[in-house]
Amino acid sequence: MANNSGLGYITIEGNEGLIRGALLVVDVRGIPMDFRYTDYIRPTKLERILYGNALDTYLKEELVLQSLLDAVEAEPQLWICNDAELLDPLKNIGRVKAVLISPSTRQPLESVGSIESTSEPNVFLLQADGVSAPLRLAFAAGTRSDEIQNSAALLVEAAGTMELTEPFMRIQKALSSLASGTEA
Amino acid sequence: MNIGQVKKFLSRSVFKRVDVKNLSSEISEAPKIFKLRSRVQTYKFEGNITADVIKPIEILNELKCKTEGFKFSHGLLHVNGGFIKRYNKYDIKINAAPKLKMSQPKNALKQIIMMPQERMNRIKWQKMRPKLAPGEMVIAWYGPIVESAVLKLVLNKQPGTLLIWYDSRSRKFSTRGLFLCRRLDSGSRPEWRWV
Repeated sequence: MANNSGLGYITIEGNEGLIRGALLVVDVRGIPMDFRYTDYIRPTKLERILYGNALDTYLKEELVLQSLLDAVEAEPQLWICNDAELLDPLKNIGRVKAVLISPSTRQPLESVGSIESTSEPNVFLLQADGVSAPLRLAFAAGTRSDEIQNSAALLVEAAGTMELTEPFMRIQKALSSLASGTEA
Repeated sequence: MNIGQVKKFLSRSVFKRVDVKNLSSEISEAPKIFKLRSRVQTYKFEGNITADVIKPIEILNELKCKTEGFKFSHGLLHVNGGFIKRYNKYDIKINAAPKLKMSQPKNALKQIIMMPQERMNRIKWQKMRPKLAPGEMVIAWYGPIVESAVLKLVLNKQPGTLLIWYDSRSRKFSTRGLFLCRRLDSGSRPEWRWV
């Protein structure tokens, strides 16, 4: 672990047929500090039969996520994912706080930094900056309120210098670019 | 002809009587019962068998048939739904199913660091406006941008986003916003303004 700053974005895509993952650690300006990705995993027919319904979970959590987290050198202060299924394993394996962020269509909250609970458990709205709709934040069950407040504070700080959901798009573009480069 | 036969003859012809006997008393032995025997073809196999050759493979390992009291021994294999055959068990190699594993994640920091960040036009959320000359209007606002760290800015006209290349070695962190303005009256080019 080289240092402990910035935000870590992690995404795992695909289903039981084909799964791959990537993570991008950026500083608060969005400048990359670490980027790792996996090749697609293609389970054989025998493996699908042997693992059954547990295959997806095993691939995502035990293989892809664990491998990515083991490989990363610039560990972030907060892991950000775009899949609710990753919250629990990220919290357990990632050793630092984890949150799912997604845009909302709600009206802006009172002021930058405002956080509001929703009807869903462990889901909040955060007004991270003054130039967008509130972000929807979801935490793993059992996340303490002080961890939620700390995560929200980190996101508000970073939103002052970068766009919080943008790195996910960059990961997708990078993966497409790397895939096409490999094919060529 | 003895007396018994004479009696029997007279009884049948004069009195029209016929002797009726109990059958059970005539049967001294129980009927024979034959067991059905299972026939198993056995072959001596010469050479090595691998899991590839006998796939799918079903091992009848000490399978007991309780009703008949016999059992299959080790080494009986049911190959591709065919007859049960016997192989020398020491010739059989059973390969364990490989555990799912993957190669090490790859490091592509050099590639992604060359890629631009993309900012959406947030003019509808931005309440602040730059000082505008008469006949000027604001088209877009992009931010936050660390102006001192910018290497290159490109307007991606189709989606209306701004592409930003940063100098990754920069230690500057202060941000600004960038307005895109244009004059309404002529065909002049749009103008960028940092605020």
